[in-house]
Formats: sequence, structure tokens, C-alpha cells
Amino acid sequence: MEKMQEEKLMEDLKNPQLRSRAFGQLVKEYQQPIYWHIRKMVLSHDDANDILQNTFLKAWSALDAFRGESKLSTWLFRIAVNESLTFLSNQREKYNVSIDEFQENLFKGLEADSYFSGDEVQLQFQKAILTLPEKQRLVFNMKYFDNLKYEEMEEILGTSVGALKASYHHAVKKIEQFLLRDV
Amino acid sequence: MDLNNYFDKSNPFSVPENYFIDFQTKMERMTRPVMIPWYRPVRSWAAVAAAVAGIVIGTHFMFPSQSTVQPLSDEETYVLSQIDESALVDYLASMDQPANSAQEKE
Repeated sequence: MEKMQEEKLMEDLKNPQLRSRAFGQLVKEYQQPIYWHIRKMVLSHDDANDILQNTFLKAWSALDAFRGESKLSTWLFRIAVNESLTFLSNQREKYNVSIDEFQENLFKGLEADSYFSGDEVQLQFQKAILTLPEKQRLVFNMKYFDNLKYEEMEEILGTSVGALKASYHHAVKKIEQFLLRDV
Repeated sequence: MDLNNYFDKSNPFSVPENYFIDFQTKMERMTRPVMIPWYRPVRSWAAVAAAVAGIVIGTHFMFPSQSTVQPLSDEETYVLSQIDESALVDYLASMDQPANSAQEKE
């Protein structure tokens, strides 16, 4: 979103008379990138839908507290990241399984998912990404799929650019090792 | 191995048909401002007024006010003390008699 548009939108979001309409524009603008970001973390469409809804409802409730120090997209992504990580953590606790077992369950869910249309190669690639720790998976997805700049990722995740670069580099190495293990 | 060369970045995930349109509609519904009917505040005020009236009326019946008869002044008390009680009774009784009976006596 262009800077002028963003400033106008922020202004309207602060105005009680215009807030609802402005929030509709916000949803329209950002629902898809945020959805796909969540979906790549949790894999299931149903779970991604729930988290997306929670993300926007939390944003709606927190509009008065939003000071405009960051971009709207950064703020929304930050909420989405926290919601996704919280969801995954709760799922692990709920099923009381190890991280490896949990990842295996996620992957089995993906294989059976009617909303996954990738071939065997894509499936193996997703399985390789699933072997990464959650925060590293986040970094990998944001860099590889979303093509975000490290500075943008730093704002969203609160991690330094240097640490993000290192995390991404290690993530790529692990994925390569996983994919080449049977070669 | 270079991941960028090995995998395309096409999205293998999909969503139900019209998902994003439906989601947007749902969010608009959930964040729509609530319209309060005009009569709801009036009804609230009426309820308050009725409650206050009930308290006032109830208090009146539960705690009736004292007699409105003014206490006697010192002068009145003195005058009454000088009158013979029996004479006062006779006088008051004569006041109750019809007018022609009073004239007949004279």
C-alpha cells in the first residue's frame, strides 16, 4: 500500500464514524498475504482460517492502542505470527506429543489435505521445511516464499538482521540435507 | 544444491471457492457498528423515573408525615388556662345547635 493511502487509512481507523468501513478496506488489502503466511505455518486451511479470523478480530480490538509507529502490514503480520505460534504451541500441549511427533502429524495432515495440490516433489519440500524449528520455519517462509527484506522481518519478528540472515542460511542447509539424504 | 533453482515458488496450497470474498463479508458483519434503537434510552429513562416514583410513594406510606397542627403559642396556652373546662364544653356544644333554636332560647 502506498504511503499516502496508508496514512489516510490509519486516520480513518482512528475515526469512530469511519472506522468500520476503513477496517473493511484493511481486511480486503491484507487478508490474502496474511492468510498465506499463516497457512504455510499451520498447513491446514481450517486452522489457518481460525487464526486469520482471530488475527483480524484482535487487530479490531486493538485499534485504539495502535500508535502508528509501524506500518499497518507490519502490525498485522506481528499479530498473525504470534497467533500462529501460540496455536502451534497449544496444539502440541493438547496432544501431549514430542516436537518430532507433532511435525509428523502435521505432515500426515498435509498428505490427506484436499486443499493441497502439490506433487510428490512439493510434498517432500514441505516435509523438509517442517523439520525446521517453528521460528526458523517462519524466517524461511518469510524470506523464501514471501520474499520479505530482512529489515521488514526484523520489524515483524523483533530479531536482528544478522540473526535472521544466519537463521535463514542454516534453514536452507538443513532443507538441502533433508532432501539429499536419500540421494 | 540451490533451492531457488530446484523448486519453483508456486503455491501448492489452495482454498475453498470464494473463500476470501466470504471471509471479507464475515469480518464486515462482525465489525459492523451496533445501532441502538432511539426508544431504548427513552425506555431506560422511563424505567428510572418509575423506580424513583415508586420509592417516593412507598416512603410516604411506610413513613407517614407528622400532624400538620401547629403547636399552641404561649398566649393561646394562657387564654385556655383561664377558661373553665365545663364552660368551654357548654360553649362548644351551643355552637353545634341550629340557628333558630338559639333564637328561641333568647
